[in-house]
Parts: sequence; C-alpha cells; structure tokens
Amino acid sequence: MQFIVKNKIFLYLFFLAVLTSLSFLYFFNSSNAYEDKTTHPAITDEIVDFYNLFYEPRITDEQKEWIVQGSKDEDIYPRWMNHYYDPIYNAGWQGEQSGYLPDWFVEGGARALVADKKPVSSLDWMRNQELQTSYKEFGGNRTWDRAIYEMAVKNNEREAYYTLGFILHLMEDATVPDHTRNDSHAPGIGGDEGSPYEQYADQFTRENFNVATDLRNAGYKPMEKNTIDYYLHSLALYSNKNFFSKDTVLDGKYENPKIIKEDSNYGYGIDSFNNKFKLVFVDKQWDDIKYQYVNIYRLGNKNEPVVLSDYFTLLSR
Amino acid sequence: MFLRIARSFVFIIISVVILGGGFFAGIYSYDYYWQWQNRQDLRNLVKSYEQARKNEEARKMADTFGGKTPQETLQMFIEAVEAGDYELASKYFVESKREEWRNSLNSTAKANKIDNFLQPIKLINKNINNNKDIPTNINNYYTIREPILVEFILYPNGIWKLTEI
Repeated sequence: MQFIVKNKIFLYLFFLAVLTSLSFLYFFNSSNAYEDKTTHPAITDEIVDFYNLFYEPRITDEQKEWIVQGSKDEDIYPRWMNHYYDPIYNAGWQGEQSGYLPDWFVEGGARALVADKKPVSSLDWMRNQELQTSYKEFGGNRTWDRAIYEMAVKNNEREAYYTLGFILHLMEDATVPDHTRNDSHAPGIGGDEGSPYEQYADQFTRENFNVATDLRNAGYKPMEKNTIDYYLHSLALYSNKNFFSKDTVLDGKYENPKIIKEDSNYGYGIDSFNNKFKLVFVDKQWDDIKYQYVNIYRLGNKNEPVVLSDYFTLLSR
Repeated sequence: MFLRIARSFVFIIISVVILGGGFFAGIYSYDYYWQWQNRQDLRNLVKSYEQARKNEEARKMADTFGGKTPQETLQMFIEAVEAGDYELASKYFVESKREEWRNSLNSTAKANKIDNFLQPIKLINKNINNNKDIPTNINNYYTIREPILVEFILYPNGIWKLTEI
C-alpha cells in the first residue's frame, strides 16, 4: 500500500512534469486546435522531446508512440464537442459562430441528442469520469484521473501514457483561439468554412515540426504549475486574450486582444510576454449602411498566411 | 418452537436478501439503462452530424452558380449586378452569405450607390483578366486585397464561389 501511495505521488509529479514541458511549448511556440493526423501528433512529439531534454527518466520511444496515439484519438467523433473552454466566461461549446445556423439550434440540437447533457468545457471534460464513461464507444474514460490510476494503481504503463495523450490533446486545443473564444469551426456544418488557423497548422507534421532543441538552446525552460487544471486554464487565457479567431475579430464579447498599431496592410498586437506580432489584415469591404468601402480586419487564410504564421509562432511554443 | 423461530429467521433473511437484491438490481438496471441511453444518444448524434455534413456537401455539389475560375465568377457577379438581378448576384456567394448580400445589394440599389459599389470590382476584374500568372486553385482559396477585398472559395464541384467583397 505504501508503495502504491508513493508510486502514485511520483507518477502524479511525473505527469505534471510532462505537462510543464507542454505548457512551455505552447506559451513560446505556436499552436491551436489542430488536425488529428498531422498537427496534434507533431506538437505532442515535440512536447515529449522537450520533456526529455529536462527530466529523468526519459520517456522512451515506445512510450512516446502511446502518447502520440492518445493525442490523435481524443478527436474521435463526437468527443470534440467537449474541447472548448472559454476562460473568460467559464464556458464550453455553445454553438456560437457556426455559420448560418442559429447558435441555439446547434447547441440545442447537440444537447437534445446527448440525454440533456450539454457539452462541457475541456476543463471539466479533462476530469469528468462520469461523462467520459458514457462515451464508451467513442474512446471512453480518458481523464487525467484515469491516467494516474492506470499508472499508480494498475501499473499499466501503456494505458497511462495513452491516456496522457488525450490530456495533451486538450492542452493543445486550449492554445487555439477558436477553442477558447467559443468560435465553432466544424467545416461542412451550417456553412462554416472551418478555422483558418487550424487549416494553416495542418501543414506541420512530426517530420517538419522540430522545435524542442532550438527552444532549449534559446534558454527556454518548462513552466511548472501546481495543478493540471491550472495548465489548461493558463493556456486558454493566453490564446483567448492575445489572439482572435476568424469570427471573433473585434467581437464586443471580449475586451482583448487590442490592435495597438495599424498601417494600410496590418493591425499589430502585443501578447502577454511582450511579443509584437501581426494580429490582423487590414482590408476594405463594402458597408451597406455608409454606402462606401471601409476598413475591416481579418485573419486571412492558408494562401495568405502572414498573420496566421505569426499566430502559430507564438501559440505553438 | 425453535423450528418456528428458525424458520422465521430464515424467512426474514431470505426476504432481506431478495428485497436487497431487488433494490440493488434496480439501481444497477437504472444505471445500465442510463448508460445505454447515453450511448444511444451519442450514436444518434454522430449519425445526425454525418447526415448534416452529407446534406451540405450535396447542396454544394448541386450549386452551379459560378465559374470555373475566380475571374469567371466575378464577371458573372458584375453582369448580374449591372442587370439589376440581385437575386442572381447573391447566388454567386457561398450559401451562408446569400441572404446578407441580397439585402445589401437591394439596399445599395435603393440608395443609388451601385456604381460606387461596382467601380473597384470592375477594376479588379480588368486587372485579373490581364494577368495570366494569377493562380486559380491554391488550397481552394483565392484572395484579392487591392484595391478592395474579394475572396473566393472552390466548391467540390469545381465552381468558385464568392465569400467576401
């Protein structure tokens, strides 16, 4: 029993340590809600590499593959409904900004079909064993507590690391503004064309996204926090307050971010770590109230990735 | 006497076991039903969303309003606006923007500002028709930023639709 308790504490700390490297990668790189076949595995891979640069025992290649697989599988349909967390309003997915369908229809439809259970925030989802158990056919219970239990009590490394991958997926999504500003972005539903940020990030794979060593060489270290919840909350706050999502540019719902400077091409922002970056494109669009072309602000798309590239550079590290 | 007491005791024990067993079986059954219901609802949810995706995909495939290049679509849009057919002009936009643009064009026409609206768009049309190097299919998006914003998206049936002006 004593062994189990000690082991449990050790493993808890161990998992937290893995997450410290994650949080570092997110605060100082660039990421968001990513493609489950490319971007999620790429970022998860770098999280593990970054962890291995600072902590012992190192995560083995086999363990890393279990984690990466978990980070892919958290996107099993329809788990994604619980991948939103708005830290300003402490809310999960509410179907907002989902194309031409009214918000109440999208969210209400989802709720009605899930036995009166509204989608929960990723902060809740990460620890909600009861709800995740009801997703038995869709990945089942992959909570933080399950990961700890598998490692500390059942000594099942494979399940523990695999489940940790699910948690890392939620952390990665918390760095995507669409996920933290309640901007629904399921392409093909309600006319929504998806998140340009995620579409831009799709190009990053395990083969071409390698930043861990560079970050270590540049002097960056893992950020350590006390609880798993705080990691997620901190990441969500960073992406919510410093970046726009496609449909929430200068949305009155959020006080931040602010355009601090503007020229004929771009609006500029500054993040919580004093990094200056291109926050929006400045373009001209017809205004049918003033009957003239006026300035509008937008993020662009993967064909014109100047703004999105700046976002990724800050959000994925 | 002893046998009667023993029988009563056994009867009570059996009754408690049956009642307790029934009680716990009820709880278990309720819990099992609740979980089954949740799983069933999730299955329905998955089916509904898949159906919604298929329906939207089918609507896109059936949408033939537009050209095989962004230039063609823009030309069609200009011609419809010049003809005063704002219903048709709005159909060159993606589905989610149609109503907004139909109203906007009608409102602009009532204010006699259609010429102001069309002037920079015609300029763009002239320029892109003169520039043979302009790509027509990169990642399904095509964006013009000068002098105004005009954005297109490629539908799966090969038709370019307007998303922004």
